[in-house]
Amino acid sequence: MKQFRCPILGLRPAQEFICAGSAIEGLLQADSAAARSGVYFGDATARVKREWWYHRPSQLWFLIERDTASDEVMAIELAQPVEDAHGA
Amino acid sequence: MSWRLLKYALNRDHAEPRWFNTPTSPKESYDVVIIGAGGHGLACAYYLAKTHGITRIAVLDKGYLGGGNTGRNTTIVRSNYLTPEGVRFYDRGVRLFEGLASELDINLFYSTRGHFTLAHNESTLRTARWRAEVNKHHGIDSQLVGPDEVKRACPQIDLNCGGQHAIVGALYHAPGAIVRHDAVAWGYARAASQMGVEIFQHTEVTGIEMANDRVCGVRTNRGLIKTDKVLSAVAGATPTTLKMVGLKSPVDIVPLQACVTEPMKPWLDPIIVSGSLHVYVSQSARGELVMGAAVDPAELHSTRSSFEFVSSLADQMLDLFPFLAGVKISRQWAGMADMTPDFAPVMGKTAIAGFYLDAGWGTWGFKATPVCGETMAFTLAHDTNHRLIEAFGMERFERMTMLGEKGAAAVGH
Ligand SMILES: Cc1cc2nc3c(=O)[nH]c(=O)nc-3n(C[C@H](O)[C@H](O)[C@H](O)COP(=O)(O)OP(=O)(O)OC[C@H]3O[C@@H](n4cnc5c(N)ncnc54)[C@H](O)[C@@H]3O)c2cc1C
Repeated sequence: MKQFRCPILGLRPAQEFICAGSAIEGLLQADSAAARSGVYFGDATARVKREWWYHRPSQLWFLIERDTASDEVMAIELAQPVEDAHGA
Repeated sequence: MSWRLLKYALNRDHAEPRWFNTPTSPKESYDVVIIGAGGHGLACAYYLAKTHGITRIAVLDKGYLGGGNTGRNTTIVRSNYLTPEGVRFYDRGVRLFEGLASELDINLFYSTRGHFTLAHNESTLRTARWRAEVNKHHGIDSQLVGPDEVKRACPQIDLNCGGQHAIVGALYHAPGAIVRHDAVAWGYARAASQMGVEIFQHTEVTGIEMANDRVCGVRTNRGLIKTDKVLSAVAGATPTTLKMVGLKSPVDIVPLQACVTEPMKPWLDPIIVSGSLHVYVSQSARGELVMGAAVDPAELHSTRSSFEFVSSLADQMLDLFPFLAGVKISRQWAGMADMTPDFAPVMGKTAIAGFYLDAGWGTWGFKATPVCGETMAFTLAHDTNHRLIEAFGMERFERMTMLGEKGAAAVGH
């Protein structure tokens, strides 16, 4: 079974996570034409890419760097501090 | 062993001709080069030769004929889509499919079964009603039915689904069918080959040559082939061919998995899809239950299959058919689905002169094999998009004119 090694949660089954798509650099700063093209067009060949993943049980967001040919996870980091995520 | 078989084995001179030609090496140039000997590429070659008289065609495949998604799909043919553009297109597809066995002179095992998309709650029922109305408007046999009708067509189903998510109705599409996928590819290959089309397996396109902003040839592992028209019909490899001509991809690659049970006596006539439970099932002519679900959770360029897929599929399937608990899964596999954000295809001419695209067929393109062949052949022959594919250009993502087919395509392929 596929698992992710999380910085604070340890080894968790991949099924607890939802992939929320590519992390696109500069998307918020881009004008609308550039944002559209960033969202809908890109290099979609096999590569190492950064993605948003949401962990359902803990409601935490992670940024994951993954090889889309081998499915190997190269890096995984918390997208925001736990206190912010849980509104503490 | 029968004498006839033994004689056949010992005899070197077999009367039965090869199904398609295997020329030793490609010519220096062709009028059209088609990348991908899946159903779509082969169908396009066939209609180019048959309808438009263009026969100097090479179809190249890096693997073997029909070894991509064509040979991996769960063979459902239907036309009960959601958008008028989709419905018109798929309707033509179903009609072509119905006459295809006699046209290609091959038994496709085309079997009309009826197709139920189950609703387990009000909101799914609402989408079903919407689909039924769009379908009827375009003359397609599609209607909303109650749980009783589901039970009548499929007495083995547990309408209560284990008490968790009772079936409240369904969208019923009588023309829904299953077909033998390999035979579709072989039939088109043989017919195209008889008209002079050349098919090269184990021939990989590694680059596309351009001069003055237009296509002038393809580079392959067997050398350069000159041509000024290239069709990319490579499904799961679409981002790679787009990169060869410098185009960014609106298509992402996500695995789609399927599996079959051991064969059983025939008991399941219709095709059953449940969007809420994320599963669908039909019974093949061989008696196996052919089962599948929605795509994998993330982009991946691989045809690996996973235990997570079969275990969650079995879990949901048992809610519909508890008596299957003792039945074994005998095979599972995956294909690389070329997904678009709106679950509609990307087809036609592109920004690059001479480069044509037939892609974005994701989890739903087998049923479109004949109509893609027909419309792409027209588009290549006239250098003008066929009217049935005008809405499918990739500019729609720039213009934000999406087609919104997800409600009809996410689980039921
Ligand atoms: C598990 C599964 C279930 C499905 N179920 C259904 C269903 O029930 N109903 C439905 O309508 N659709 C279904 N689909 C979708 C359907 O299978 C596809 O959309 C359709 O078969 C695509 O056909 P194609 O000819 O375009 O591509 P393919 O059959 O994938 O052919 C593409 C070919 O291109 C070749 N190729 C790639 N790159 C190169 C290169 N560089 N050089 C040379 N050759 C190359 C590949 O080897 C391959 O043979 C399903 C798909 C899967 C994976």
